[in-house]
Amino acid sequence: MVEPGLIRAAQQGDRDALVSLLREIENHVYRTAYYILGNEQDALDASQEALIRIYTKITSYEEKAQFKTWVQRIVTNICIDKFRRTKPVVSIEEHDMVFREKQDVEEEVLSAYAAKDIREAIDKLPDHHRAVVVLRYLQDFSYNEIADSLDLPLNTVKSYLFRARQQLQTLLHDYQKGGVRG
Amino acid sequence: MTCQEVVEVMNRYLDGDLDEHERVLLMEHLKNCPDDQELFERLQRLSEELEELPKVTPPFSLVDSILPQLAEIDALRDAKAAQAAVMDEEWTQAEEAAAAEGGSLGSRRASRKRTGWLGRRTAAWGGATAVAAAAIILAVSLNGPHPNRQTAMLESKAPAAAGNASEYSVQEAADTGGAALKSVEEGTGSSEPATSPTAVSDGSRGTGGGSRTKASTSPPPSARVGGIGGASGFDKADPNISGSANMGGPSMGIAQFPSPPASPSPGMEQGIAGQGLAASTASPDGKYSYTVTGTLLEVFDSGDKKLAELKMDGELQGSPSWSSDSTTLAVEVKDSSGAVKKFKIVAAEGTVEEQKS
Repeated sequence: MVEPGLIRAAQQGDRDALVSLLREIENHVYRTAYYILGNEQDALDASQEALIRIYTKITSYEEKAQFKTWVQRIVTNICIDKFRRTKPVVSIEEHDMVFREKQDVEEEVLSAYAAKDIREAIDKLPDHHRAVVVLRYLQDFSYNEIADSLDLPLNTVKSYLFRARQQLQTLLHDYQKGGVRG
Repeated sequence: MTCQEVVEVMNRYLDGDLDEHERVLLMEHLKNCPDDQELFERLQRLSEELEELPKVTPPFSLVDSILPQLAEIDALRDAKAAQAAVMDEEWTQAEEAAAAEGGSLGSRRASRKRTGWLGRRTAAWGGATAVAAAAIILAVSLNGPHPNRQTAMLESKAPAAAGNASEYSVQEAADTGGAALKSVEEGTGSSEPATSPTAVSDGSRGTGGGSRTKASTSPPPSARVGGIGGASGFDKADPNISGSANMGGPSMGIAQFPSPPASPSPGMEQGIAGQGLAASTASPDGKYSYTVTGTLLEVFDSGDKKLAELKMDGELQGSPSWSSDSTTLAVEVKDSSGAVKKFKIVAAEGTVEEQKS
């Protein structure tokens, strides 16, 4: 939660406040970009672009919206409009590389689905479905907050999320049955 | 509950969206329906897995990594503001001088003031104009003394005929080198009227020198003023010189103009364009501007009065663009189904019209 005072100071031209504000949100911005785009390099590029856009557009933020949804709107738009369109294919090797440090072998065995499988399944979802899942699970957003961020009607958010779960389940079920993913 | 309803209720359960009553109903249903019970368990497990996805963090500080770009943005902003201030001051000086003279030239400029063109409109005196101003300066710096002088002469030949030449030339300045040069005469030519033809050649030389020694930067103010003074000097002092210079081949002079790069400071502009920042939102003549806030696009006049608004039911496709006569803003909106709708906003009338394709 970013301090409203910090946002206001940033909007009034306090450059230090604006930079501190960016520091507070950079992890959130990156996390969304990472899970929407599915690889570290694009996530870094998209996050940097999002932070720069926030830097230049801070005065256009209005308090009637939540700051965190405004931020997520910017980063999801950049991810979906720009990066995703130009780089639709994500290789499996990249995932392996990214998750090398995070993997805990024992836990992975105990876990029904490997995080890697889930990541890949998420990556197969259509853009907006994936964005809804990312905001729900990586940002802990409510239906309303997701609707505000993605500029979608509430019912659309729900149906995307429910359908995404269904699809993830089917995909993961296939992975499990097939053992090794194709 | 039908099966479809149950699936929805299960999902809402996972999102903590059920009230107590709905929760009880769901549990009762699941007790009596093994298939749904199994589906519910799978969904629950999936949801738990999703919640446990690693909260990844960037491998280095993203903010630190963009600090140089942020500094560039600040520098460009400051430069634009400073440039706008300089230009505005030049205008004021020119108008004061012209008014004091009270000649035909003076009245021409005074009429500009009354019509409230560009320079007087502080609201519009932002992005687009500053860029145009920068383009003018760039064009000056890129050109040697001869083409510069010839153009100034060419232009000065018919000041009376060019009723609103100033608007025309500055509008084009952003696009073409030739036009940018024209606007040297009209745009900046209004400051510091020179008193003798001698000042002309000095000014031109000064400008040319600037181009050689400061290849990609703006010429020093003195060079600019020199060029400016030269243009004005011809404008009113000695029409005959214009005539003879034209014989030297004004068209050749224009043909020699290099096409200037699109921006006054290539590195900086590219850096910004590369980051996908919005371009200026002002209309070419500076009378109108638009802003986009979320899904709301609003059109304002120079006094910040709202003229029209468009609630977009989707994402902006590309950047809205002004017609060259500044009357109409074209907007393309892509809705969630991917369909693109085109709108035309007539600023003066405040009308928003969807264009059927």
